Amino acid sequence: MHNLHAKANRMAASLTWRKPAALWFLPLIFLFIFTTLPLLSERGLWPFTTHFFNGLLLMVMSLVLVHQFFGFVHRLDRTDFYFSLPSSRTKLFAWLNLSALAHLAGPSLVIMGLNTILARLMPHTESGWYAYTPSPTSIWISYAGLLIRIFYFFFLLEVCYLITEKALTALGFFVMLNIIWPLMLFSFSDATSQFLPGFINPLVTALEEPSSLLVVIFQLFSPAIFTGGLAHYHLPLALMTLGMASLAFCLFRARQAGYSSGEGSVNWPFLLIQWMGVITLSLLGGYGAHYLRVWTTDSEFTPVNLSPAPFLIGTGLGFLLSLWTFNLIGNKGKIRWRSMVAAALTAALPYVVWLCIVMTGAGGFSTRLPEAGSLKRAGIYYSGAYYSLFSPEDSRPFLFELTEEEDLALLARIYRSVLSPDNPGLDLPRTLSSKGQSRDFVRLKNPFIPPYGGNEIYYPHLPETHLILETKDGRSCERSLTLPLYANNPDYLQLLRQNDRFFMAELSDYAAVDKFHVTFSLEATPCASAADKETWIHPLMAANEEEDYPFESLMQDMTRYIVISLREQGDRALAGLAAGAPCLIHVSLELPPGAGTFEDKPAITLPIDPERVPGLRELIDQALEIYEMITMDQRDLAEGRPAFD
Amino acid sequence: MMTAIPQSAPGLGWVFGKSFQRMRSLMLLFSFLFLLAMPIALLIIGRDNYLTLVSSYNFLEPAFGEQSLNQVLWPLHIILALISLAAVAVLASTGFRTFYLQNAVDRESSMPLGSSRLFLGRALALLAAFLFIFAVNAAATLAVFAGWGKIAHFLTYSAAYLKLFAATLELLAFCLVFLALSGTLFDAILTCLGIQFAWASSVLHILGMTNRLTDLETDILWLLSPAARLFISTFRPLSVWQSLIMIVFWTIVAWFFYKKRPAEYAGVRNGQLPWYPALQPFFVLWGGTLLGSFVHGLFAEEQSVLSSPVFYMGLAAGALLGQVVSTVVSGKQLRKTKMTKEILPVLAGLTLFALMTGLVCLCMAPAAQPW
Repeated sequence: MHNLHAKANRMAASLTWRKPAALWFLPLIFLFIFTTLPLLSERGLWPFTTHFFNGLLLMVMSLVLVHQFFGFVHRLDRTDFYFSLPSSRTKLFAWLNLSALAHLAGPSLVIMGLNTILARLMPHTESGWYAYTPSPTSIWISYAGLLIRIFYFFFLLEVCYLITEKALTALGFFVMLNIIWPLMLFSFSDATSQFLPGFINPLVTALEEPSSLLVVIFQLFSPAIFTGGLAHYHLPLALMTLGMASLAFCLFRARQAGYSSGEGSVNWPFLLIQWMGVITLSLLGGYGAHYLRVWTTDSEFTPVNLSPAPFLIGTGLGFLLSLWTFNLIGNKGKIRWRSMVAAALTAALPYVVWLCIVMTGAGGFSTRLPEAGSLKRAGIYYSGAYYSLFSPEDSRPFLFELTEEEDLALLARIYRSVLSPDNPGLDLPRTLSSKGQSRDFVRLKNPFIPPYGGNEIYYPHLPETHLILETKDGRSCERSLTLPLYANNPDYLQLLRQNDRFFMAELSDYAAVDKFHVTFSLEATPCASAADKETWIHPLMAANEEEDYPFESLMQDMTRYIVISLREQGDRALAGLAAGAPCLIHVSLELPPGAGTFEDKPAITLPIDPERVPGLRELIDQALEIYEMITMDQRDLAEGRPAFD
Repeated sequence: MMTAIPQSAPGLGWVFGKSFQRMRSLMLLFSFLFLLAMPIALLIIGRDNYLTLVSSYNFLEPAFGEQSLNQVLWPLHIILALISLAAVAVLASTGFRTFYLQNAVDRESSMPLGSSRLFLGRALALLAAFLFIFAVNAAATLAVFAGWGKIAHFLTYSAAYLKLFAATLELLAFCLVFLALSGTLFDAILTCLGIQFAWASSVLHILGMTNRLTDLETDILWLLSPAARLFISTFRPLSVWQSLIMIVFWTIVAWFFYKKRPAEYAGVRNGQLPWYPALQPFFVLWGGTLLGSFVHGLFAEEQSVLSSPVFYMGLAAGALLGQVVSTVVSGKQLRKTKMTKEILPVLAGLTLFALMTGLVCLCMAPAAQPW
């Protein structure tokens, strides 16, 4: 008896492994062409092409393999055959998945191994280029993460096959789920932030540093969309993959031969997709009509007088169109009014509730900000901290805190100036352009003519400021607003003058260059050794005189490196560093005409100490190399020799 | 005594009515989409905004004038072209859906109806559906312009609109050929798409590598890719007569294949049908030119393409790959015993490449500067 069982299991196992050879050699050839050939051509492209082409191929092969291995569940004769095999469902499920996953990962593993060996054997002719390529270890770690995400993709598709009665329905369900789910998440979170100035779009901020919960939400129904990202969340994704595999197992065990999702019970996969699709397409219809009106209105900025009518018309049209389309899909080309009414009600109710909340301003969400006197502390989140190539570990967003009463009073005056009754972005009913109107209200108060530009007025880009405000009674609120942080705002200038750490935090931001004009000057200190002066301080000073040398850009980079390294240290640490540094950089803010006198200019002195500031030595070396090249070219030109010979 | 009730045999009208009824809901849906894309969009933009935009300068002004479009109608026209593309795929598939179900085909074959009438009824139903969609949209757009007192704008635009209609019908007729030939709906769509991509991509590569690619005004480029004509008409002048000739040509070809089609084709994958190897040289050509250009770009970029051995190695490998992939995708199993049969399309594809390259070199003047 035992032998008979063992024989049956062996037979079932061998059946699952007997698949067309094309499932192996076509992926092998594809990956060879797109990853191995670029490697052999010595272009150093392998680390960059491998992830993309592996991901693409593995997704396509998942579709093919799920159909190959589990397509039988949609054919009565084949289901009868498989389910009558003398093997338990558990073993059958295990063998089918094992074989499918081996077919899925096998070819790409073979090519990854081949490429790793070839990369080790081949001489690196372009050493400079190879210095920037990731190591084989990091490529393999990244590949392992990709495999986990692809396995989730595979098991979700398998589940779609197991809950539907036709392959086309399963694929349609899977594709719609992958498209509609992220569309719904992103469009509703974006629309809420557009209707309510100050509302922080949770998905946009989350994409910078997603939490595990958000990773789960993104990946849940949209592995096809997020396969390229979420590269550092192996554990939650692995757990999700295990969960999806378990669900597939339960469904496989429960699956009956003549299964049909639409008969005798609620066709919940379709109803779920229909609900998500109707509310998403209604909102997208509103987006389309609103922006069609805005973009065709002849105005340089967001039009001030905007009616909510186009949005509401677009919403209505989108609602009608999506209901119609889903009804046709669900009823195979025929309209069924009863199911349409039910679908309309279930989608319309939550949508109308959401719309009422955001159009009425959510009970003063945008205008309810603490007064200066009630503030205990305020944080400003610098998400755009400058990325420094030579010290990437320091290039991360940070939170800067203000706690002094006089600083808080100035900050409160700055953010409360946005709540002016003239601000059209705060008018009711709110529209999709409320946030844009509020932003333009702030920008237009700052007419600014750059000294290097022509006669045209240029409005600098103002990034949104992420504020975290805590009151004395323990309440806290977070808002993201476009604030008048520009050089002709006296409150802003005063805050820069009285708080050096705030000045430094502002300089760390990538957008600072666009906010104000800064002048830089260098000064050697008595602590500078003769070697320091000769090797880098004097050449840097000389570079300032060189017309072709991008001195200002270098100074901006150096300033950012310094302020990022000092951001968590106090004023004393800054003073100590400045006292012992071989060189100083004087940074002062240029004031627009009428904004103040020369003495009023906010200014700060920062230490240039390559030994203490991470990455600064490399940056200076690179800058001097460029300076050397420029001066050499000029010498060559003067001697009549071709440059860069 | 039983009296025989005289029953008229189903005729062309019956086939037309049945087919039209099958696609009626979808036809209305696409009419609504057309209305959204043109007259409703114009109403949302508003008369004042429309007139301000139309009167303002645009650097594409001369091109717009030549194609009977303006700043506002140009993007809306592109959206109409996209919806037309979707409408052709969906309505044609719906009209011919029963054509791939064995029991439905058996029922149709046993009817006292000739295959010519069946084909004509279906084709006329499709034509009527598209006429309805385009006519309703034209009437609504005319009403909007008349309401704004700008009928002249609509009259100017009607030339571009008619060209779009002609291009849509040309694509529809082209699709009918593959719908009539294929064994499954999936294969019909796949083959129709594949041929268009294969042709346009191969011709572009050949023109590029022979330095004959001056601009996109080479009609040969769009001969087997009528889907592109929907969009090309917004960039360059397009002859309506050429479209009409192609509509007649493709319809006759489709009718011929429809008549000759055995009932047993229903539900059979294209790879197992006898005509499929005749199409495979196009996929061979596609695979060959793509892989040849790719490896040439990787290993011998400095050399001229046609004198580079690397290109020919890639061409041969790509040709084989194109053959294998097109065989596998079309549902045919690769078998060792039939490998000789697989080689023939490869040779035919390579001959096609040589022939096309030779003809392009002989008949077209090289470009003064590469495109």
